[in-house]
Amino acid sequence: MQQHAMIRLEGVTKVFYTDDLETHALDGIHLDVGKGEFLSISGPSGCGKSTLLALLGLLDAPTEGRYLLGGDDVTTLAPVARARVRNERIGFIFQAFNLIGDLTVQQNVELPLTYRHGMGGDERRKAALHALERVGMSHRVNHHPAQLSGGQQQRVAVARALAGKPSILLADEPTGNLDSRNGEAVMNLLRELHRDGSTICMVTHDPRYADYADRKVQLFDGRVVDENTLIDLSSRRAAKA
Amino acid sequence: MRGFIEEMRAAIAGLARAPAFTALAVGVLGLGLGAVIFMYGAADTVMMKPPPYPDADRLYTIATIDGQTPGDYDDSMLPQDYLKVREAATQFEPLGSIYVGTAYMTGDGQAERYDGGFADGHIFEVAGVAPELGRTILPRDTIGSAAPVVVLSHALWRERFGADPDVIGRTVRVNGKSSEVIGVMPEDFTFPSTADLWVANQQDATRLPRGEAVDVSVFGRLREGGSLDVAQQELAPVAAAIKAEAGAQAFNGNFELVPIAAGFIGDEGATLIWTLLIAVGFVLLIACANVSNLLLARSAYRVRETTVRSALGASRGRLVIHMLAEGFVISALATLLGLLLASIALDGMQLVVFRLMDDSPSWWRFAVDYRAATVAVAAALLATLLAGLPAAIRASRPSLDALLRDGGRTGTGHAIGKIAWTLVVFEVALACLLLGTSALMTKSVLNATSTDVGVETDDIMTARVGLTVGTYLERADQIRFWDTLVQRIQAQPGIQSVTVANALPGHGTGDGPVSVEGRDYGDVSTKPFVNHVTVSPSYFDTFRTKPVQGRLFDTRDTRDSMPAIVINEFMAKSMFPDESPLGARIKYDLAEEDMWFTIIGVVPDVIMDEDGAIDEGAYISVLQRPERFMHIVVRGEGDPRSLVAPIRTALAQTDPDLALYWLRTFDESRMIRTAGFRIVGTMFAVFAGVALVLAAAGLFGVLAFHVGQRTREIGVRRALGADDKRILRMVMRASGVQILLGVAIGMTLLPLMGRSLGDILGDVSPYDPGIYGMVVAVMIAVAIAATLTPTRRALQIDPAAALRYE
Repeated sequence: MQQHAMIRLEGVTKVFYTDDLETHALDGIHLDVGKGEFLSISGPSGCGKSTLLALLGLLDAPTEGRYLLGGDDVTTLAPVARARVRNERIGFIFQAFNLIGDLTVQQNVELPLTYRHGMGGDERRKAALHALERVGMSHRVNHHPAQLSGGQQQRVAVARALAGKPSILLADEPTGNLDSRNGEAVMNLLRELHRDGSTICMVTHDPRYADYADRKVQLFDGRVVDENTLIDLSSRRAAKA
Repeated sequence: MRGFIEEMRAAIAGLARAPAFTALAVGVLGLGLGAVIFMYGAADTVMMKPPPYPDADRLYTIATIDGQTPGDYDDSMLPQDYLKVREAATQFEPLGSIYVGTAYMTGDGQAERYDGGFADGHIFEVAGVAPELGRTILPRDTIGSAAPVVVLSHALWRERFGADPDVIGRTVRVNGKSSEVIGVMPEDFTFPSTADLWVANQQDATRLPRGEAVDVSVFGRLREGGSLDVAQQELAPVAAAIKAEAGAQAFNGNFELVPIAAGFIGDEGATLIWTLLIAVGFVLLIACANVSNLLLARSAYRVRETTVRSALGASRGRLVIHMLAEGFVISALATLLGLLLASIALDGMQLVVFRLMDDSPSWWRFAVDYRAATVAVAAALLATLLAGLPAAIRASRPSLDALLRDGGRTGTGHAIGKIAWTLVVFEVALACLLLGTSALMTKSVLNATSTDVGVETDDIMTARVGLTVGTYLERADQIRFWDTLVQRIQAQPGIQSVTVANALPGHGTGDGPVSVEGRDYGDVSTKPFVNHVTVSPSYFDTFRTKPVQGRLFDTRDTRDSMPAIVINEFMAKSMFPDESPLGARIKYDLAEEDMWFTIIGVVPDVIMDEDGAIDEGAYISVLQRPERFMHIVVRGEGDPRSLVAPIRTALAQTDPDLALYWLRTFDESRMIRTAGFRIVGTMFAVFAGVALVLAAAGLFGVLAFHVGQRTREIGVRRALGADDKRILRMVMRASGVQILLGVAIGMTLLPLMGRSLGDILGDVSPYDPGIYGMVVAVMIAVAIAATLTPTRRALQIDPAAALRYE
């Protein structure tokens, strides 16, 4: 399945500084994600899952190390270039959906496309409708988010992430705010997208949903560990507590 | 550009979905912009807008600036001085003079009084407007021996002559002289102020003594390529020569070229208008701070949305445009509202000015025009940037990773709170400054406009009548006229008492330096200035004033007897502090007659000047030193207006060529006389009121935002056992420091602002402790009122609900 690295992290470290504290959220991460791969990232609270996803999504920059996206070094891009890469190559699915309440479903899905240079109104509308059809929400284009169920909102959020035909989809606990039925539905949708060729990185703490992925990455204290090591480290920490 | 249009569209849609927020922001900014547009429109009309004459930008008037009293500005000069100026001036094409006075027209019925322009032979050339019929006044018409001529205004031609095209050549009687109609001016022509007709000014300036000539206003058009600097420089030697020839007592000033548009308000008027412009600038800044706070609060509630937009690829610039777009839409709507409010206010101003200020220039048209609209758009753009930028910049730096770390809750409220906090301090300081300035001005205006001038003015009717130049040549004739008129009015039914006076109390008087016999004041600049009013003997009886020392005028005081004068208590105390003034002799140094007056009595102080101040004042009998133009003051029974008919009857019996004008009750007359003060005072009061409301709204908004942002925290504190007192202290501390800091800054700047008003404040001190105390008290009261609702809301927070609060 894996062809060549869509994402490559080389020795990525992220340190947060406060007045008198230095917190190593990520510590020398090496990670390759191939084109078309479905990767899940798991680990206990505070292990650095969200920080890793933020770096992958160019929402934040690493303190050290290198980030190659599709072969391009995006580690030290200027803010405007980072915004353009986010807009053209990355699709986000958030735990809290993060739809804009004032906008209709159609407008929400079109929103990232309005930031894209050279895309006309008709083209945007077509792309948005197509994305909504893919997630089965094309019959709700004129609704506002508040008029939708949680599951429906997340499907719209998925459509928004898809509309711009991004290179990768980053999903942060996409089922975290959903009941199990809606959670299953969203995961099935992601699986379909993956089958259609999408590259997906998903953060989840739920092992049921991690199983949907081709590959599972475990994080512990900012490092990538294998599953056995994770179990061992977690049980030792529990015993110490 | 496409992005901008999209953001504008999104902003319109977003604001439409938040009608309460939009209405509040548009209302607040609209008020501020309305104040600015209105004030600019008014200032532009009276100071900057060129009058409707050809090459108006080259039209100047020559003002006389008193060398002894800084800022003492007179827009006229003696005709003798005008001749000298005219001789020396090389930079003007035409230079002409005019004064507007009374012109009686008779011949086909009862005499009627009109505003007459007494023009030299050049003033129409200065105006540059050709007559509609016939010709205008030429230099040859102004020679004393020339046949009298009259030029009619279009309105007078239509109303009195039925727009007869053959009116040229007809003879009418103007000021007792048969005059030939030589021209009719086009509709709406006036120069410089409204006049119904124009006659030739036949004063022979080469032979008249300085004291007997009527002042003229001088206007000129700078010749093409002429130098304003050279023109100004040419005036200095003329002033020096006049001073050398006439003496420093008679003339001790300079001439100054003033653009015609600004020539009618003088330096003091200009200072007032600039102060008002600063005041509305403050109002706009306060409004901007308020809208900025509203936008900040909105951005705080929308921080999640902004963060999502950024995560989806919106650049920082795009986010700034996104946030500014709402500011633009609000400003555009506020501009429309401001234009509407300003238009209504300027219409009102037009009505008030033309009803109450009859000497205002004819070209003053208070309306929103393209100049005001341009200023409105510029002010709106500035307001957008001032109000929108803090929120836009703040919102353009969202904490993106917070979307992942805490599910979209982002923590910009604290930073926004700091900006909002600072803005409120700024607002309170500005409101404090504006309230203090307005209070100082309002006190000054109240002093000036009080109808209580120190005498009983109820039931009094006033009118004016004048003996025009060229009639009643001998003083004895003038005395006889006034004496006869008073007696005839007194004989009419319903009249209790009647008097004539050349100035009414509180309406302004003549004044001048006086000498006291036996005292050496040295230079004229050290001599006391004393107001003087010429009255008939019944003046004190009509105003029900009793002497406190000596006697009043009576039958002993005639043209041939010892010149008598009655002084006020203020003068008695200031000039004769250790002696009785009775029997002392004083002389007005600048009077045309070298006459020593003996003080025969002292009367209580009455306000003489328009500014409401009490100064040295004296009364002279019209039967000893007559004046040509006098007010008739009649006290009668019942409605004062019922006294008009008896006065008319008596005047017609005395001289049918004369007509009454300015028929007003005393209080009406005083109101009209002080209209300028009232208008300015009202404007200050309105601007201060708006500033107070805006500052209170700002404080309320920020505190409400503060409480809203801290709802969860307050809930936690409640859950941990904090009582009402602690919550109250927490909320009040947040607003108390802001208010105290703002008031402290405002009160520190207030003396500077007060001092800059200078003489405009009259007797009111720029450090008036009562006003300072009032400002602090009002600001604190307003602040407390503004904090009540948010404080109550904070006290009512339910801990369980607050902990669920997002």
